[in-house]
Amino acid sequence: MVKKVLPPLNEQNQVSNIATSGEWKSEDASFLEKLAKGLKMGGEEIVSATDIVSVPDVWARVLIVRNGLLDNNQSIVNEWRGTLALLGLAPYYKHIYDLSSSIVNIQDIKNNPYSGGSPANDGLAHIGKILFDVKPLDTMAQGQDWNAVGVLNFNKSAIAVVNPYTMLAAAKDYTGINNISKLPWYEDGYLIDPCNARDMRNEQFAILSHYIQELINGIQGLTYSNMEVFNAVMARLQEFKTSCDAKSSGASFSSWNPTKVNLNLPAQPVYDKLSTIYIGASDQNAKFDCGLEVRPEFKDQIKGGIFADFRVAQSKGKTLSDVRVWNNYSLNSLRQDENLYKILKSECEEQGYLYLTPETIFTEKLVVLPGGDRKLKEHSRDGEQFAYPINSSMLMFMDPKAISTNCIISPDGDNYKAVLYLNLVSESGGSMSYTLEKIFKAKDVVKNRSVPLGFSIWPDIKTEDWDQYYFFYDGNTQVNILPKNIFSVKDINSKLESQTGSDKIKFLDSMIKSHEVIGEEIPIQQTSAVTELRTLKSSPEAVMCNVATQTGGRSFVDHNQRVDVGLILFPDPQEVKDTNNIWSIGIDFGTTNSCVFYKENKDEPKELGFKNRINLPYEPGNEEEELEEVMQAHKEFVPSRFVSVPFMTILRERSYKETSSENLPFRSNFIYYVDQVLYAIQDLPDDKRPLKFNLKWDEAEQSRIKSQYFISQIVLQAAVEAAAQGIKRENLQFNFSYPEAYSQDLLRSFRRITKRAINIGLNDESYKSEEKTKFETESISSALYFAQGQKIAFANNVVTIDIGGGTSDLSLWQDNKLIWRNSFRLAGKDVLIDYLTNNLPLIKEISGNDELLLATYDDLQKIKSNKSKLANGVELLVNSTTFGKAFSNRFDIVSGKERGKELKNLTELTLSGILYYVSLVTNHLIEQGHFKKGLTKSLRICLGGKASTLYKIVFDDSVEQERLAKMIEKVTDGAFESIALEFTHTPKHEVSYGLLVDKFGATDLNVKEKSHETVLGEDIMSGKNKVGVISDLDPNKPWRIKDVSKLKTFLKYLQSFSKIPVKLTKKLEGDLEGKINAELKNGQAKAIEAQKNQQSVEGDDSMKELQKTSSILEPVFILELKQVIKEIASGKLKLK
Amino acid sequence: MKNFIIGIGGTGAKCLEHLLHCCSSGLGPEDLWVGMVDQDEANGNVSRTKILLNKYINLRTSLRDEAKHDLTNNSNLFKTNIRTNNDSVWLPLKGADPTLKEVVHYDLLKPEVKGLMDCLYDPTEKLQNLSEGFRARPNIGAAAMLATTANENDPFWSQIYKAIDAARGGEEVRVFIISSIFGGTGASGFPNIARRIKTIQQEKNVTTNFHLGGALMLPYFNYEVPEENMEGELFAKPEEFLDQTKGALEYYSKLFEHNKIFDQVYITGWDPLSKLSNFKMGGNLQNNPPLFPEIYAALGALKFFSSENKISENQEIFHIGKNDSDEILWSDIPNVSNSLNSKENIAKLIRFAFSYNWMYGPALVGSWSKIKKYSNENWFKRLIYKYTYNSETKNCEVGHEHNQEVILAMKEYCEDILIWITDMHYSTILNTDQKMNLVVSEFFSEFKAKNVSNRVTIKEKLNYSEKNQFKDFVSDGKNLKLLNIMSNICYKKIYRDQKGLGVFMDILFRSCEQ
Repeated sequence: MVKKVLPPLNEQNQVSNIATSGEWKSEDASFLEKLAKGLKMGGEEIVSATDIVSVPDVWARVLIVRNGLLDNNQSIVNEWRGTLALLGLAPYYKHIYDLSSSIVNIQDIKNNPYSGGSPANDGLAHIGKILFDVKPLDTMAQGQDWNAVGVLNFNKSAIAVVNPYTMLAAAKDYTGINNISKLPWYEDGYLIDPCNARDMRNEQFAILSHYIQELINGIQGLTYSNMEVFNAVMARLQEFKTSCDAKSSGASFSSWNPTKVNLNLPAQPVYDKLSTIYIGASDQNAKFDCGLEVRPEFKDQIKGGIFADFRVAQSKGKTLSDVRVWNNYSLNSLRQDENLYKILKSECEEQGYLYLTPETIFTEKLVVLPGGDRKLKEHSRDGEQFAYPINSSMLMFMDPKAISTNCIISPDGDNYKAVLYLNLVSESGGSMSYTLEKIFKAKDVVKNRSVPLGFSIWPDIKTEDWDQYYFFYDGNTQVNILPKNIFSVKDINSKLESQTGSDKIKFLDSMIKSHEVIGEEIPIQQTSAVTELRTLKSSPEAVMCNVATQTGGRSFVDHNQRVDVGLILFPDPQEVKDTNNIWSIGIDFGTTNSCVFYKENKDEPKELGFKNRINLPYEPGNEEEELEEVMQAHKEFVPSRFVSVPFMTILRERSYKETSSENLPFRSNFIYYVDQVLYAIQDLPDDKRPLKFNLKWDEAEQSRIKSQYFISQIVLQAAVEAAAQGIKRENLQFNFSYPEAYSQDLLRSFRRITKRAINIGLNDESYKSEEKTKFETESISSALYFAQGQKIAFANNVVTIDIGGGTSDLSLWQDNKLIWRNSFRLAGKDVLIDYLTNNLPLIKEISGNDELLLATYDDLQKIKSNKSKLANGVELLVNSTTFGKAFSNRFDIVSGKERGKELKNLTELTLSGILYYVSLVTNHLIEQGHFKKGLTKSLRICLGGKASTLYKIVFDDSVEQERLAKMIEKVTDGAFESIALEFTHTPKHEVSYGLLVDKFGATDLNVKEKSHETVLGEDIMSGKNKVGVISDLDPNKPWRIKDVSKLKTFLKYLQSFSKIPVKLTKKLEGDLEGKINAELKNGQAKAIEAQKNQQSVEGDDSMKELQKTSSILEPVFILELKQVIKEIASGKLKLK
Repeated sequence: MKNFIIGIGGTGAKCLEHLLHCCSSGLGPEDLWVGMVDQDEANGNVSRTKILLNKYINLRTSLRDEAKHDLTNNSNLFKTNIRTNNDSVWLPLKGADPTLKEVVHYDLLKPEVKGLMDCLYDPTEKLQNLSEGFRARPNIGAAAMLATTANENDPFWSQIYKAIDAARGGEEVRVFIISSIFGGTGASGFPNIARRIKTIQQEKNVTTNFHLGGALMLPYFNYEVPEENMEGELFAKPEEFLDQTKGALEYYSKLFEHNKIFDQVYITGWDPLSKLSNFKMGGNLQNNPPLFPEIYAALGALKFFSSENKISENQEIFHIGKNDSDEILWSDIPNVSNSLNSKENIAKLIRFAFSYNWMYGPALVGSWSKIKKYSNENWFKRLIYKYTYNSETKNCEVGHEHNQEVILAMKEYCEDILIWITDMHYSTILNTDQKMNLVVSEFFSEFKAKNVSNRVTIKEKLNYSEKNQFKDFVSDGKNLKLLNIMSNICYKKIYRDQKGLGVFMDILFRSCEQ
């Protein structure tokens, strides 16, 4: 036996044996191949074929690849596949690389390979000549040659030689090429077979498979040059395709778009096929394993969320590569390329997915809320309570219930552990549960902030129809958490609808990072104390809160200087089913008090109190004191208590000035519901946020706007109550009352303001306020109340007097027919308020020992120097229940004393004066034939209005009533011999009730009055004519009174019948005449103005119509009476 | 016939060492130009061979001097007229300490050519300092070789290029290249110098009388890489030998399939691989021992040069076998030709070296007063006295300087032979299960495997019993004793034209065979 003098050979070697030792044996060239294959290698390749450095050739790189393909050497084939994939997948990895190429003309560089000057002649052959001299001789296919090769560049760095043997041969070393390591099919310094790469997706294999198939198809038609190489390349391509097909596992594209990559390659066969790359038609849905399903509410806006968390893999016993984050990319891709997330995020955005990570899901800090009874309702109530440390964008995928169920926070030593159970879904419908955790270290736990009591949503109802919600915040940056982003389904949807394409996701993403305005934000106060209002279309589910980490002293801390701490969840609003019922709402916008009634379909009118519809995230407590705290916290918003009717007509002006011109509710003004008179009086001195009274009568433009604020809020609150009963806004009808005492301007303005306030209050421009708003005079409305509400028979003679805070509204009826009606501005204000304002000690007397009233009295003392504020304070006091009771109980006691007696007499004087005037009117109507004398001699006087309570106290005694009857009999010359006083059962309800009474139904009253004439009560000289009624006044002639004879007659009767002495001095008479004449001058000017306007306006607002229900001049007698009352109230005229 | 041999790289140089010894024994052609190529000028193996080459040439010149000492053409001792250039070693990149980048003027290249270079060479390769060879990166060497061998004016290459011209004139020219398939310089030079020569041949349109042969050493040894300071260095990693060899063989296979570059290629390796104890990456510390497989390359070259070697039209690749056992025997050594028995010549040479070194050399070294004690011995009288006797001065001048130079040179040369054969003997089988049954050397030598230099030291003097072991020194079964030599030396025929010390040298050489 002879042993070959060769390196160790394996047993299967094909090297021929030698017969005799020490004798050379001749072989041909194939011997070397046999020898190569026969070498006894280790168990596995020690040196990857790609690392072969033993080929002594300048073209070694290419030749090694060729040999590797011929031998099907795995490492070479793998790298070759990886190199081909660079082309095949180029369109899908544009974020990582850009391919380019250049041609190296070997034939040319043989002479000169240099780009500028040649180096000094050193006697050496240059590289161009070397490359040419030893260039390989054969090629894969005919038509190819080595005279030109290509260099493929990856991000402008050479990565492969495009050559006629192997098509592509990877560069010897490409580890330093920019971004190469980001390729999934790059590992440990080599391009690897994509089919072995961990981060490849099945669609990519489909893409590759198609590319390779097209390459095979293209090459198949060529004629081989070196059959061995040709066949090897084809075989390797076919194998590659098979591998890709196996990996594509069903992924397919509906069509393929060839993309000519801009490669400059030699014009030879094969290369054109190589550079034709395909893009699968993009009708494929995005692929992912860790998606978050979007809530049904947002399905039309975004497709879902993509969650990227490395720990998902481990938790599921998978590798990072096994978990596809997004299309081509797995968690491993993210691990390999720290900047990849930016691209993924952008791609997700483009396709409608929000890209989330643990860092973006959890907030930076956790707030541990102080313990106490006021537990957050929707948060776990076991142990400590926290804001859910989850960003608000997560609400796109988890509703509040899901968050409260799936987010658990527990102490962990000094730290806290937050756990969020997520249901991750794949695009194919698969799902897996995943527990996301975050440890909040002690430094990231905020413990000194609480949820302020002023943290609420209004209203607390939910219907299909209702779309107006307010989030109210009133807290302090140093002690409270602050609201950042509000999450309300409709507003988010609305915001998203206004965005297009990827901007929707960008918006949601920005919501994670920054403060985003959802709905509308009204920054009422921005100091260390923060008051905010946010208007929304649906009830917010949660509020993302932050905290100001650095105290800004008294200054406001902006959102960018705060740190997110988590979500406060709100309870679901009560769901109400819409009905088709109709509500008529009657609103009596009174001078001092306002009242609202409603009538559902044909039912009886009912009081419309405003329920506590504040939706609090926390338990308010049960103790009165606790509830009071909550109420105080909402003082600047809507009361967290039931608001019964009537309520005072007071508006509070905020220091915040609204920028829009719409005068929307709650912005710069809100209704000041007097809860406790003491607090209200304490609020009076605040000039920065003044309380506004007397809205009804102030003719200034600003004041009219205030009226609009007031009315629109009433409309809004009334509409909320309606909605809470399932009434749709379109099924609301509004009825407003107004006094005839309104001037024409005021009336026109009132009508317009009211209609506008309805649209504003309902937040519905489509609401046909023009059609659905009705107006009625207060006098008729009041009368209708008595007829319907108190079932007073109007068959005989009835006069209704609704004495409110500012006006008295009168109507005269006979035989169920309205004969006359009118109103004037002489009411409670002029009597009781004025008197008490000027006689504060009487309040103390009435207060007795009531601590609250006495305290109030003290507060009034403090503001007594400001008469206007004092008057408002007295008005607040008088309208308070406490005072009402005290007055009622103690008036008898104090009425015997000096001031009490004077007030009693003043009251009697006032009502007597009014009835005296009524008698004068009756006389006029009898004279005009409108009122039949003798039909019956009795007159029923219905007294309503808030101020009627005062009269009820005074005239409860039949003696006083008898006196009145005698005076009326006297004045009417016996038309009425007896009177009967009927007091309202529900003071101040009358008008709003009456507004809802069907005039032609139940009451069967004829409200088409014969006269709305204003009887002057005191004759006016119009030119040379003596005129008794306004309609006879000629605006073009001077108006004046000669004397106050009627007043004097009345005072004489008053003394005679009621024993109330009023002695007018000459001076006073003169003053009175002067004042009345000044009023007449104003009236005349108004009349001239009205005359001018009459021609230009038609319809309801025409002067003619307005004149029927409004007045340009109050009855002169009443003006005189009022002046006398004023003199008495102010103490200038004594009832002696 | 003009013969040229180029040993490339460390292995090439080592094979030349064997070849020189073979030529000393008479196995070489009549005439041979010897050159070496190594970028690593300081390579210990190259230096050793270069010195040996000089010794050979000088000694041969001294002993082939018709006027003084002449072995005459009849003698096989130092038979081959070996020539070389003034500098027998050619450095591809002289002077500077360039990198490949500098050699190809990378910075001046067209962008696309730069790109191509970036694909073909990695950054380390482009920046590798080439002064110490191509460090296991024959692709770097390929470029360097092809760049530098193109210079026809280079004195080294002009010899060969002129020979190609001579071939056109009808003279037979044979060029042989020896190198290893792995490593740097040799691996890269083997095909590229061949291709360059072929290109010149083609350019000179020489189609006949010119033949190119080569011996390619496949893995036959490996070594342990020291752990220290090798990080980032390019070098031939032993564990990669077979893989890299496979890659290279595949390359050669395809290259030779389509391109007949060589007429004959001699392929040799070894199994099991010899294990060198002391690896040095390059430089003068790389002084690897002569190993038995190298002798095949040397004998392959001599076979190629043999006039009996008829070169075929087809490219021939030769390989050889040895006995199947773990023993290395004389019978494993191939003959150069039918008329040139390698084992006999080599055995003769090393017996010559032994007997010269410890028997006759010591007797002849020194002044006459020291030497004259041998003057009455037959061999002295017959072979020395007579041929160193100056009739004019009537003195035996063996002790004179001009004779002593030759005597000492021969002693030195014989030491080299003894060390060569001993080192080869030890090193080839070191740490393997093999046995080397060519010589028995333990009695006169000491082997220190870890030594970089002076691995083998031989005794200055041998005692009687040691000398008595001469009969076992060469394991060719001939049982030749020193007494036989001493006897032979007295009877072997002196050729007529032999002169001076040439007489003794040749007679002793011839006496070393039966």
